[in-house]
Amino acid sequence: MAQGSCGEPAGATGLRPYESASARLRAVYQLPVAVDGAAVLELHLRDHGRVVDGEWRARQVVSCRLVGGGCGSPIANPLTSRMQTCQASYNEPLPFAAASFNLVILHHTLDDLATAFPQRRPRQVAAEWLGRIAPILAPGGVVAGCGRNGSIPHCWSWWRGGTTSGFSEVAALGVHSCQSVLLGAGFRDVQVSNLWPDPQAPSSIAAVETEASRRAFRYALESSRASLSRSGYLVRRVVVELTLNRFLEQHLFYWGYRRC
Amino acid sequence: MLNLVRQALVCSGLVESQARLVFNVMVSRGEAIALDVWDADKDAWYHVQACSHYDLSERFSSYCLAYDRFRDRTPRPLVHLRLDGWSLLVATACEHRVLSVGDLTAARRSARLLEQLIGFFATARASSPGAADACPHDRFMAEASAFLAASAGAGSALERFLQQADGALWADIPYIPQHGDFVLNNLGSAGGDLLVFDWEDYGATALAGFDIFMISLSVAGMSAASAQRIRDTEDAAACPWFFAQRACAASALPYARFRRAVPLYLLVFRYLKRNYGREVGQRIDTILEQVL
Repeated sequence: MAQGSCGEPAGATGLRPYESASARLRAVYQLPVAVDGAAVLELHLRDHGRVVDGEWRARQVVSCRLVGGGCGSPIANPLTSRMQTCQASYNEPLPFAAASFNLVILHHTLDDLATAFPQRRPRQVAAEWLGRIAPILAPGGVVAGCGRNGSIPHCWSWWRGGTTSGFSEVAALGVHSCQSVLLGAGFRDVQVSNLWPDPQAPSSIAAVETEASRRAFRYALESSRASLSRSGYLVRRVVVELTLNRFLEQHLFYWGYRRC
Repeated sequence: MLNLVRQALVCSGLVESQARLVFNVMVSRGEAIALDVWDADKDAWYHVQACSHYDLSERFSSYCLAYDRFRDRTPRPLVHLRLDGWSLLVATACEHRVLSVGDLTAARRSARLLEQLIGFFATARASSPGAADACPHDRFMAEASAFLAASAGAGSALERFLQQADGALWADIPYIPQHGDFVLNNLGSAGGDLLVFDWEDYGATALAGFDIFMISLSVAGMSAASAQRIRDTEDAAACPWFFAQRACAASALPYARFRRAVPLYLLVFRYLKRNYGREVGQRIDTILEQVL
């Protein structure tokens, strides 16, 4: 039976490590980078629930709200306290020194930015912001984020009940555009994935590459087979084998590394 | 963490340092993060468990022992490494689907899965190392009883049962190391062949019949009523756990003895799940109170 390093039983606290939604969300965002001793920045516009909190064991954690106009709040530079909140205008350059973060989190941020600039194409907005974020990342640093899946056909979105309440209605990026925009902004080792069941309480991410996607969704389908009618199963099986799930899942999760 | 997974795979010689790796990740409610890693260049898949809370070396040892004994039924464990505060266990990845009640029901008609299930219990018996002492279950049962007697959730029925429990309750039960969590969720089918996963509790108890009870309870439904039906039904041929009689025979355990041991198996179940969180513990405590 698993024991802690100090010999304490795994369940001594009564709560397993990934039982809470926030613990799973934290774990997902910490997949591509080790945050111990790192500096982490979360950029956000609307309130989808924060990703960073006091549980992050980073050297520096900054939660920065992007607002319209020129109403940013002053940001201590160099940043002094371990956990800091601030505001910055999305119409002005980001008020952070070059190479000052190891991880930048964009939890629905690109969708919200695309919503804030309705006169521009969402993909252009995303590309521009990833270009602005890259310089504030240290070499080898990571940008990671999630957003609505722009590849979803409108009819499918409607059939599934439309947009999730409180989330942006604009999807900045789709399966393929997410990859190309990240690569175009100079990031390497990019992975784009589907994330489910819920961006606030994730449990699975599956890469959008055909082999990986087919394998993950095949497993998910077979695990729920007992609850499906035969025809329901067969239709879903066809969808899985054609690797269409990656275009139909509600959310994408992505990361990319700044070149060294 | 993914960089550590890459490092583990590279330094184990499983992938090239520049290999393009793709990650499917599951952050379930357990203590480890599970990853299926695809080496796109070689089209090879690996299954990795990564844990920053506990050391997985004991789990790796259990997996290796299980692989030695149940080679056709178990993914092959490849390596265990500790890197930068993480414990990483790498195994071959077997594409499979989780077994369902329907699969076992269908096994009444299609012999393959049933034969493999019975064969699993026969292999468990054949590969059993034999007990080192005359009363092989005494120590384990003493540990389990002491833990349960001191646990906050112990009800009056459990307290009475523990006060009266002695070696006579388990002395005649064969000594066969058990999987320890032999439920549907931990069984898979790969191309129609039975696969068994999650061996971390392997050998924690050697009380023969425990695995048969767990899979029976799993197909019957995790409830006190199901446990009572398993205990009270003389002929299980028409029940969802129709395979239990043959499985007991393969374990050299008389079926009547298996049924009498149901309260004991529940007690072991509660003990083995002692680290699985409050909610799980409370559910089993409730079943125990009603069955004892």
